[in-house]
Amino acid sequence: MNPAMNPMGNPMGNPTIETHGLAKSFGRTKVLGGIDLAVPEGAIYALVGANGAGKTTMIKLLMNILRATAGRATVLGIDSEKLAGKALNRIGYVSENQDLPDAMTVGAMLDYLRGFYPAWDVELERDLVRQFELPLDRKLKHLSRGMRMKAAFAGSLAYRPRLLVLDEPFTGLDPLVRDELIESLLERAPETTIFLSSHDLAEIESFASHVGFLEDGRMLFSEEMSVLSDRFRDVTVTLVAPAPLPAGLPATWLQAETVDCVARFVDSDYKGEASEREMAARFPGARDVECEAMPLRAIFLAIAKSGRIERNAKRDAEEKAVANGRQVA
Amino acid sequence: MNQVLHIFKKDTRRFWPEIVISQAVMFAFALMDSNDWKVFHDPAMRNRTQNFIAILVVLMVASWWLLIARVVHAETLVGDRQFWITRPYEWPKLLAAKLLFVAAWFGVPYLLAQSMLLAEAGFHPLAFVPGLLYPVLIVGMVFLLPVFSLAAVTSTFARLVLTVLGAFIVMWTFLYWFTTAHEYAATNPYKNVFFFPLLLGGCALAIGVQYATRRVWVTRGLLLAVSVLLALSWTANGRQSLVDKAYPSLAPGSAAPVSISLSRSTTGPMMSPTAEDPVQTRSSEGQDYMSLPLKFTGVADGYAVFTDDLKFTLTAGDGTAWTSPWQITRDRIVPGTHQPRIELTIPPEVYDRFKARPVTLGVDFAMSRYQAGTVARMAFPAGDVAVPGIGFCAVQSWEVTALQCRSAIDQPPLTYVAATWWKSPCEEGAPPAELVHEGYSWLEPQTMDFSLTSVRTPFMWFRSMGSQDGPAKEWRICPGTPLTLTQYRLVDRTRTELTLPGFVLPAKVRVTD
Repeated sequence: MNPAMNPMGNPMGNPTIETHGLAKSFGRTKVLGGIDLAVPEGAIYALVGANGAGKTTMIKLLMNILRATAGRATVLGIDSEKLAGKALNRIGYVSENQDLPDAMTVGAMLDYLRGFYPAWDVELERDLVRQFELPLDRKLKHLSRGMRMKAAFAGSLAYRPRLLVLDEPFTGLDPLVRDELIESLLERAPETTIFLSSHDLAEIESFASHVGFLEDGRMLFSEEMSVLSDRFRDVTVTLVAPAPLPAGLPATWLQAETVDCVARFVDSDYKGEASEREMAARFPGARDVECEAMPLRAIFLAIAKSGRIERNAKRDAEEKAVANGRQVA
Repeated sequence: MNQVLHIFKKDTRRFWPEIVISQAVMFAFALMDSNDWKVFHDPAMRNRTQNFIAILVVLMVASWWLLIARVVHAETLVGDRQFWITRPYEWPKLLAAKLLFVAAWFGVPYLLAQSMLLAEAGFHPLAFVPGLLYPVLIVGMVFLLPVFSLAAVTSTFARLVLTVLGAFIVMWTFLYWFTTAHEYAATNPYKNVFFFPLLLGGCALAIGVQYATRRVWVTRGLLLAVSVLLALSWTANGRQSLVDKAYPSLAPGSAAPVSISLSRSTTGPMMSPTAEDPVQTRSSEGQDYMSLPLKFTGVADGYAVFTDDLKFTLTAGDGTAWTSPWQITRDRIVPGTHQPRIELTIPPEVYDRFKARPVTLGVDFAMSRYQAGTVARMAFPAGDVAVPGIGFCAVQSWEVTALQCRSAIDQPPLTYVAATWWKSPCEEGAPPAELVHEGYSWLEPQTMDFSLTSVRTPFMWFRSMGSQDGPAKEWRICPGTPLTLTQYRLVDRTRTELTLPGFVLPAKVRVTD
């Protein structure tokens, strides 16, 4: 079997990032609960989720900015809690929340950073400065948000890191700047594993090779984009006559509903003919069954909504049980 | 090392305005401080100079704190959004770079300023190199290390200022509590051997832990624990029982270092206070005070005895008794007869309980005995002269009863200076007309041996032998008068008791304020 390939056609090897039961709580608030994750070398891994899902916390744990409450993580084979000093020579980090040395000019910042990285590529630095049109003599505090992000990117790409960790790097940027940054990322992709977080599905769909979906501190799934796309299908079953949904549908069929003669659901475990045979068996009078591939956004919405429905149902059941208990008492 | 220099250079480039301000204030301080002894003949000018020096000291220390805060906060250790924490900084090198910055922009200039001061004072700086390093280290550790440690656990200068203010308020409250809880402060016979190691060790440990782990709450807890330990050590060192330990009772059969009795003029029944009664009383700030005239005799030749503390017991005929805590009393006794007054502090309710009836008053003195050592002789100077064991001294022309001296680095040792008073005016080249009295001055090192400057300015103010009071206005010590300077060293500490049976506390305490 051929190894998985990244979008640039390079093979993906051992995990660059690996976590086992990684958890973080702030006091009694559980922010991340037992995350297992493997990011293969060469991947462009997009960690997606709504605001507050735990993406930034996850990234801070990986970068040893925060300490995990439980579990462990390795980054480039190093225990994340030991990630410091020279180990950071091979890792680039850019975050929308990071404080930059505002009193420095762009040129002074790049000069200063150059001294820390033995692998700093001055040619590449010049290219990046040119590509991003960075004003070297202006202080960072006087730059626009887009320019500041470009400066941060330049300072994190010029030493050709093996791993680039980006926390919501494109948030609040205009489309032009965003495209410029994505372009520069893709140019680095052959030599760099990229791990980035985002809450904007559209912006990562075009270039991510892997995707993980984080919701309320839980990883709902983490897999290759192609596998994910293959796995999900938007299914429309046209019935002969209006009929209710059959009982005991598989749990992997999400958001199932019928309207008149049409039954719809999302199959989250589509296996080609095998799945279609099961659909035919469940809907014996079906005139037609259509299984359409889904865009990433539709997949996430289906997962998120069904997750919420499940949770709400569970909560309702618990509340009911409590109420019944009170009545008995 | 490259990373150390790399960070150091960045900080120096970034904080050059703060560095320039700090250097300017430091050298202005050195310049003004050297003026202090140059203008001592002009009291008004000296007063202005000293005020200016005081302002410069505040500005100088503030500029050091600003410099330290800025450089530590350049790579702030608090928070999770800092630019540098995801860069390949190595914490020992980052810390070394910050320390190098402090050494380069505080240590070296301060050393130069102190050398300049020494040279201005007439001392050769190269002769005092180890001594010059001492104040730099001490000032660095006492003034800068605690602020460095607080900067390491705060994220901005504003937060640091608030923290320092908070620390000052807590410290002031503690000291206020401490002094009010110990109304009868006694001499601290022992140096607080824990205080500086705790302060320095605690701050250094906190800085190390914070740079190594950035666990800010652990470091803050550590600093808090150090503060509590400092307060405890301070409190423990102020215990009265330490005086009992430091000043043991005389061994049976051994002679007291000095004989103490009531002054001759007070002998008699002392049953009632009269206008002539030598027992004087006053009341002030919720306490009653009773002053007794005493006579000290019998100090052996070649020795001096200092009273450090006293405590006293009032015992009534019915057996009821009250013993005071140790209270500070200061008399310096050399061979001959001394008739000083001592003052006893008594709570008003105790005074009322024992007044107007015969009681036995037992006064226990804690005393230090000193032995004379090196003796030097010289003529009372007309100008600026070298004085053995001290440094340089000059007559304070606006008050020719005194000498203003300059010492390098350390305080001069305990020195007794004997001179002779003459009736003014002193005539140049001719002996004074009339001998008045024997005079003396004690040059005593201060207990708090800490100074911001390398030049100490001890002051010799001459008194009249055998008198509590200063010399008469017209008395002078004329240039050319022989001076004898005798250095003393501590021999032992002991206690001597004075018992006065049938003593009557005056019935009324005269309220003076």
